[in-house]
Amino acid sequence: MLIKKDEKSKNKILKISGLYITLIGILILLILASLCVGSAGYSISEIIDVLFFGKEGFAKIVIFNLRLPRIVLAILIGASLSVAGALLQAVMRNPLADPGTIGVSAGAGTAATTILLIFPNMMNSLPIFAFGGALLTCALIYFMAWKQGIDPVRIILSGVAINSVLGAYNGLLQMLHSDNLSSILAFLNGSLSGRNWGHVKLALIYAIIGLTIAFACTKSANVLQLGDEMAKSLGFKVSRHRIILSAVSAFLAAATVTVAGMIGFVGLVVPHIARMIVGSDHKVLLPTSCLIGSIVLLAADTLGRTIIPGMEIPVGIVMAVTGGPFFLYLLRRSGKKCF
Amino acid sequence: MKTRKVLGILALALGVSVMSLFGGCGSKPAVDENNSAVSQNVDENSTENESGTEDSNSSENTENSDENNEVEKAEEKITIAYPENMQERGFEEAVVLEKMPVKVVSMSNLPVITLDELGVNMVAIPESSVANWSEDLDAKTTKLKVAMNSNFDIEKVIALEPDLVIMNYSNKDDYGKIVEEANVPVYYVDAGHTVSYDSIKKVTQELINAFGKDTEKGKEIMAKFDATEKRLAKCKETYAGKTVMVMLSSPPSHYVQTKNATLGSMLDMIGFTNVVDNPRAPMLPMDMEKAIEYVPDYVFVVGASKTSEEFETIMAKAFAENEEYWNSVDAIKDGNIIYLPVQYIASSGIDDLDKINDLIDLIEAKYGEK
Amino acid sequence: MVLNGEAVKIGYGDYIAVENIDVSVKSGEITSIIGPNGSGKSTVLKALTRLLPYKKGYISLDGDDIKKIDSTKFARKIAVLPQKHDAPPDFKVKDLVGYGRMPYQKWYKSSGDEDEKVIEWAMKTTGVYDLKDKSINGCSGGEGQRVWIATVLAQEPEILFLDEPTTYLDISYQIDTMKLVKKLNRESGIGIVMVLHDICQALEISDRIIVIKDGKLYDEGKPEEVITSKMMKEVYDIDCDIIKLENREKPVIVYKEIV
Repeated sequence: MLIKKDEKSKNKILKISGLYITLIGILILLILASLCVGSAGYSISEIIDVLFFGKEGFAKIVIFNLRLPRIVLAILIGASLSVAGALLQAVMRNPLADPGTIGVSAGAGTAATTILLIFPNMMNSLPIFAFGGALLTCALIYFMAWKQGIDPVRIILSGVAINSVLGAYNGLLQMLHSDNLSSILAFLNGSLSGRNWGHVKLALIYAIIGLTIAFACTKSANVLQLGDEMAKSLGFKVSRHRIILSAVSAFLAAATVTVAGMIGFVGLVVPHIARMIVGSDHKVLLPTSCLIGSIVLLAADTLGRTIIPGMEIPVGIVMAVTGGPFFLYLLRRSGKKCF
Repeated sequence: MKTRKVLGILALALGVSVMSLFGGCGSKPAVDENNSAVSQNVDENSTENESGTEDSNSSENTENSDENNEVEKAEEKITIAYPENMQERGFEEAVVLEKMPVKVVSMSNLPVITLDELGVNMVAIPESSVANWSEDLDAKTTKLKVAMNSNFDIEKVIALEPDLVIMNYSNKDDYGKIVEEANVPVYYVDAGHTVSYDSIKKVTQELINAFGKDTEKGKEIMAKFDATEKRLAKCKETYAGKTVMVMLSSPPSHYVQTKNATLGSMLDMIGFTNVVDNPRAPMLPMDMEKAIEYVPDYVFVVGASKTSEEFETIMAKAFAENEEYWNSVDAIKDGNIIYLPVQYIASSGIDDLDKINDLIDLIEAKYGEK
Repeated sequence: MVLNGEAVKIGYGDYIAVENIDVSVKSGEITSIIGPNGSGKSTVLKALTRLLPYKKGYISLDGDDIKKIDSTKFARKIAVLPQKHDAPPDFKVKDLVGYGRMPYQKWYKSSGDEDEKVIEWAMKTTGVYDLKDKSINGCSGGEGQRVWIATVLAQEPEILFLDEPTTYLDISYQIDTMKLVKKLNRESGIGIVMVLHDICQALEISDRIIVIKDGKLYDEGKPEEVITSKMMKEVYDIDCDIIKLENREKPVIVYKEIV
């Protein structure tokens, strides 16, 4: 009996490894492709010269100071947002949970906008305020939705309502401070345009912290899916773990908003895709979501800056335009399979 | 249950008081949609938008609030005619006033300084960061928040009981109609997008004809135009062949201007050749990959800061964040870059003449008569 | 081991379901809690198992206030299968049962050998070992219920609480479950406390029955003593006869004929 068990698990490990390798492969291909395309149309040979032979010149500047930081940032943000979404979905037990739809990103954005407009001297602490905003929003959602436990429907309703309120508040702020507008707008429409290595450093620190904690909490995420009462009966401290997971999710979402503005749909769509491939065990779901998230966001950003020559479509808009319909398609297809 | 109810009521009360707080601050103008995908609008406190899309034009017959009077040369009546470019837009009949207006409201920057110098009494002018209203003017007028505004409250204007209102022609069908129905004469000006030097000169001429014909002041103003044009002609010789990149920056966003934008057109008149040419849009988001290949001789950057020094500090910080990139633009690396404050973002009527002259002074100081 | 409640008041928010109750359950025996809808029986179960904090009174486990016991330690002694339980449909049976070992594992560790043995035992005892690699949504209603019982069994509790374990099952699965309960108690000595709707089932397998009406303890004791026509009339407003049959150890309830 024991031998049979090992075989099955070996198979499983092989399958999963195969999946990871495939996904990493796709990511690498995408990175190379992304390095090669852009509005400054360099040929492949020119790019090879720069990458492998270190040829100096404009091409090198473009590739190492414009495209590469952007690519790395897209990977980090894609991973962060997908994991944030997956965790929120586990914690709130609702497949529609995503930092974007449920107001957590908006909370971070609102806090950041308020600082930018009203207390510009505190700009250096922007990430902390964004995190605070995201956490507060989470707390508010739970507070509004709690009624002897977490009801998945109430949570999503509460989140959507809060999202609207925050959106209105942002609009109000914009109206009152129309002179400072352009920087705010750049902020609120998620975009990777002109991001440099400084942004990457910041995102990297946040991603490492956030993702590490997230991966350490896979068990919590799994148990929470069994329902509050069942989890409690297993001796699980439900509230504590719920707070930790929500905080991690808020942290990752806030980091993204600080560096790139508000990008939605990644946290919503990617975990579902991952779930369709590997199932709901977060031990596998989280890494898979990371990889798929990076791929999706990198593809979206690359598409956004190349599809219309001479113009750049912010990645937030590309995600909204493609993510929405794709999500609808997923909904139709999955039927009973997911959740 | 009870606690939830109480909390709910508290939240509602809080929401209501917050709303009334904002409402009580007076009509706050909403922001114009900034979502044109082709070229993004820039924040500026003037009614002129730097957008590529033309404001809607009433090409039908204009309804003049006055009757079809023939132009009388009687002392009392004031006739404000429309310059050529406005006539082409369908504004053919001049605006005739029974007597000299004493309560003029201007919803556009364009005529304000001219009118002030001609001694016309204004009661309300736009709030603007691109214009330098004199202290007197500032003190005696109400400021209107017309900048970037699609929800401007026209009631305020009517409440001032003006005898002449000047506004952008694109507002003819909404605000113009309302004011005309209140029996207040309206004079439309060519504003709301990048205003050309020519257009400013022509409308100034018409205003002088109406309010200051044959006066010293009127002659003075036109002389200023002449002097500026002479100076520009000289500059054209000096700077012919030199290329410029004109940027509008509000980090982290950067835009490039063509010769159709305010600053871009000033530099064009001075004789510089713009590295970016796009007939459709006066301004485009800066494509950083392409920009690296422009290799301009000089770079001019304008932003929302009050002074050049302030702006230079902001830009230095922005450049430092991606040093390698920005230093690959020789003009930036070598310091052949001039920083300009917020006034240069948009036009403010004859004030522009001062701006142009100051700009030439700056350029000559930095680059000499090379 | 005794789980004892004295003068306990339990409610949800401002709503008080149980005003004042004394109740006590022991390991080693099968106890059924019965009562009409809304009488508070599930509430009592939730209070005893810490799913719902009690408002007044004192509930103790072997003398210690349950509010003060560490939740992990509590879960090693008391296991409960609540009415509402959910698992993502793609969870495998073996994985789900594995979660029953949580009270014994540190948060970052997964199953060790000891755990694997217990999981195997739990699955075999409940008869779901052959389904171990099947996913939850592939299991039938009865199989699923047994999988969940295996999960809480893997906690190796001294008392196992089941909140209406048979309510949604068809008769064959109901009887299956009851047989399983009896087997568990007999073979492993686990105390079992169930909230049941079916009084006949309660009557048949319980060592003790607790009757709750209107949030108060109506009666408790041996089944034959507690289940009487008088009780049925007063608690359920039902007319019936309790009949002793020759080949049966316990009596049967015969409800008045519906004409």
